[in-house]
Amino acid sequence: MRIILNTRRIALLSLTLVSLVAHAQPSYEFGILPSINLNTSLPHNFKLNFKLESRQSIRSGLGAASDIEGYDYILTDFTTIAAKQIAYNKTLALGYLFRLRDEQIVHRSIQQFIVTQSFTGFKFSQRFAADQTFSPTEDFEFRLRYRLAAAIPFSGLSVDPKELYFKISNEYLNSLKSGRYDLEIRLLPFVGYKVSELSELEMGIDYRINQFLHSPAQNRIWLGMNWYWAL
Amino acid sequence: MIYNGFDKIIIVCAVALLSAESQKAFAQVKFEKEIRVDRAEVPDSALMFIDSCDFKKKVKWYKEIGLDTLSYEAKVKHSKKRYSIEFSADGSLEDVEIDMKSKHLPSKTMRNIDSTLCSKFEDYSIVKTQVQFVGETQQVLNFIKSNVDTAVDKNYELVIAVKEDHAYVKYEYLFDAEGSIIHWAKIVIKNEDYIEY
Repeated sequence: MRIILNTRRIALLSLTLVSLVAHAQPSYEFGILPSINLNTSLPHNFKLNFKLESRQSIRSGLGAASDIEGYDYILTDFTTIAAKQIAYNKTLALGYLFRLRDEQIVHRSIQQFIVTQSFTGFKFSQRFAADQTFSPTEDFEFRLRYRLAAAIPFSGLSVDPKELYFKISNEYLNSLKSGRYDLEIRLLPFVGYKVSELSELEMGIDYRINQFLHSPAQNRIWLGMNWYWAL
Repeated sequence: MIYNGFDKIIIVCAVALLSAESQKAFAQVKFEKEIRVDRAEVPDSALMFIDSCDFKKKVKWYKEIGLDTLSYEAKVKHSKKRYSIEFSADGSLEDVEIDMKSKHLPSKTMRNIDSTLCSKFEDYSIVKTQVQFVGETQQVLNFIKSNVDTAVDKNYELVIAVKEDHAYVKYEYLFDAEGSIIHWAKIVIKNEDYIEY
């Protein structure tokens, strides 16, 4: 397959990510984050999205001296989102997340508003979201989220079957828990492959940093692997 | 055939579904795939035309593959506008399209377009507008170089989004300078779940 892409732009984004990781101190966690996304269209502009995501740590610690190596299963999320297209490029969504973490069950309600735009050579989406997390063992958490995402085909003007694409998203999560505010920033550069009109495979880095406003930052770097399948 | 195997099955199913839904002709469905190509893959006559234009900015070449069509398109920024210059498979000039804002359409043309679209749809949103220039190759070349469009025909291509049978769909309409329909096609919308979720 012929691949011609804006290498300068992608290299700059990659360097930015590497720079962020290099300055990340002092706690960190590396792991894998595979997910399966099933989507189906329903009558009257409704869509259903079901996402299964599992988080598994490979290495974590506080600086080099106290590394904890080895595999550790962390959690699995089951998310269902019902979305209603309210305009050709705008979607309202409501969802529910069910999280299994050790012996603990976490519930989360989700509200989203998504705007998608097409430009020459790339797609761009903005997601405004709120979620509320309930757990029997932890305090209630409220989050306001804003995500920007762009998908740039490696070849051509749109992502077509059997083509690679670059997807990058940047999200800001404002969290309020036990009266304490925190900001989490996520940066996710991914490379995707459109297997068919109904399916995409993606792999990339899911970098998250939080707690840097009040204390030493917590850095989490996941190797993300996503599979999207439209039923 | 340009498409093969699974791709073709998917596309044909999508096209058949759209056709059945709209009760419209099979030919009035648009599905295109663009592939970036090098100059070396472009027909000579198309290259000669573009080279004659003396564009200052880099020209990007794309091969456009439809269900039964193949064409080449040169994209370039010229005089602060986005130009798309389309050629047939043998390199003959087909048209020149320039991106524009719909609010810059001539008011009389826009009134006629609006009247036509309102008679067909309850509501519509304009997603993309291009002014299209067609004519003899030399006249189109003169137009690009001089920006004087008196010797070429001017049409307007609009992509609109409408709600039809409780679902949002897109159409591409080509209107003449007066705002009368020349051609229309229903656009096969590509799956975009991977950027929403």
